[in-house]
Amino acid sequence: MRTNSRNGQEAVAHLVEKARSGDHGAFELLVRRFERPVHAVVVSSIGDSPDRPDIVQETFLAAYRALPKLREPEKFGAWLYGIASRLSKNLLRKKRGREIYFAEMGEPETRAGGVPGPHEDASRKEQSRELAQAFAELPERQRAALTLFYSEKLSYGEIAAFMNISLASVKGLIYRGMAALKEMLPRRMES
Amino acid sequence: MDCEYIKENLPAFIDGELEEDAIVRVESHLAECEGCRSELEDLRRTARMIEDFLEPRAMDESVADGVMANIASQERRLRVPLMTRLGWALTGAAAAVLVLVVLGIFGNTSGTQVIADEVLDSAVADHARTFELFKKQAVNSAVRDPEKAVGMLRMEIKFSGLEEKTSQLIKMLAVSRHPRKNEFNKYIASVHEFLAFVEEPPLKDLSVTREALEKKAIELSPIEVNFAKGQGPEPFQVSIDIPEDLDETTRRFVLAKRDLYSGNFGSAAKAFSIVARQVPGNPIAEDAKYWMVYSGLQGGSAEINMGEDVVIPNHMPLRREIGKDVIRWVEHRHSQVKGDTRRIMRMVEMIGKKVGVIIETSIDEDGRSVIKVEQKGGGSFIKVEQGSNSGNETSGMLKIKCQSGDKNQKKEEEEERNNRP
Repeated sequence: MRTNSRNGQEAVAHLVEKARSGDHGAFELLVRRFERPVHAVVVSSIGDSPDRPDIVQETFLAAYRALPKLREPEKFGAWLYGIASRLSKNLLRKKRGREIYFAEMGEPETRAGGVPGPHEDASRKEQSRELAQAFAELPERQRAALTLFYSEKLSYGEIAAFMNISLASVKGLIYRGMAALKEMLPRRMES
Repeated sequence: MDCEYIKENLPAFIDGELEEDAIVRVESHLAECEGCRSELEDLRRTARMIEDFLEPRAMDESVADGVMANIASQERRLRVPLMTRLGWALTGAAAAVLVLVVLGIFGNTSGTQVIADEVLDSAVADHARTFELFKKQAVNSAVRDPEKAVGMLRMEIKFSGLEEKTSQLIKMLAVSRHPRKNEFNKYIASVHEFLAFVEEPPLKDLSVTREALEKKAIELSPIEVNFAKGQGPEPFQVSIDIPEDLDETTRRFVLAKRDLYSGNFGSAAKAFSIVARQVPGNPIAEDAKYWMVYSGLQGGSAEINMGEDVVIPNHMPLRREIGKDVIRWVEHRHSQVKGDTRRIMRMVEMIGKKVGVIIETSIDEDGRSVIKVEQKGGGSFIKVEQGSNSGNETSGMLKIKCQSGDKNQKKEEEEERNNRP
């Protein structure tokens, strides 16, 4: 896996170099390659906020503008992660706060006005909301690692490369995130 | 063994992310330790819950088109000096949007304000009308007087206000949550493609100006918007003046072109095929071959049989274009029939092999078809015919037969028949 990841990083570095020399096609490939992980990071940070797509797009546009400044092209992914996470935080600072978006994330059938969907099972909804609240309380990097793994199905190695951390740290983030959720959700576990 | 160490490794164990020797260590510890086994079960349940919880957050649309359209627009603005504001002529709705923009949406891409869907619809409709008009004027200028085409087109860009309207629309799209936002972004990309085409090298070579522009204009079809009555763009049509003194073949050729632009692909294809057969060796016949295949691929109802009479020569750019058209057609069909992807892919590859382009197909992780084209040497026949056997599953499908023009011709035809379901 490590070799693959290194090959992947070389390919990414090559595309970054081409994009720097004005090759739009190369940059488009980079966008397609990273749009899903970036989206996952944004989701892990701002939940179901309607600003999600804009933050994802703005991440790539900011990356494009700053491309000449990127020192280590093979770490393009990690760099994107940093941009996406910074933009998401900026948004949260301006807006009403993460918890509310995550609460909405736990209520997929609930309309904006707070009226529950007609066919929604009350206890299931309650559980979902608990999980959303618990998830929102996790530290940011734990949320990011869990989302990249469970939503985007990235391997631990790919997550390590994307977040620019060691494999052991990925393991640690996922374990601590899981353990915290397990502790916060005793009622759910019993049911 | 240290339970804490084992517990830390349990999620990776559940997720299949542990190395072989670590798996063995965890398993042998679990066999001995009740506490860790119970922890394992708890973590498994938690993992399932998280998976359920996060799963629906998967992204369902590609952002690449929007990003690339935005970049293209920014760079165009840097490259091309700002055009005169003469051509603004905004409609009422677009003017209302302009007010919104002036009120502070500029530069705010995080989207604290939203453009109403109806307003965006109206702006797109307005833009589409301008764009269609521009394409029409562009081709008309080139057809009437290729020598002056470049200058004329620059004037058209200026007076149609297309440049400004496009950058306005991009700003609106940035703060829109319209359900068709992605599609509109693609439309913008196609507008940029045409504008770039007008300024790029093809125009410097006047002999290809007209051909290239015509093709491009048809290729970039207008976006469908729920236009208010009478607001939609006029269908793309070109009026071609036919001089009196043309010889019969040229006249037929020009008439075929007019059919093509009016959407009468069948009769256009037929007329082109007649020209191609009548004057072998004449440059106009070479053109006719291309346009014949092109008309056929656009959905003509004619049965065009080039057979032994017409051989597509070793004319690489021409053959590459045909290859691309085949692909466009297949992609179009694909989006319409949503059929078995692999079957369609096999067909594309087979066609590519015979037309003389190397086509690599694959399916990316999101299930989209990825098609790469490269050209290679060798002459070949190409035969295009429209399926007429309505009532079965191939109804309305264009069947493309390409023959390699050598001894294996029959064999390959046979092979193709076998591959057909």
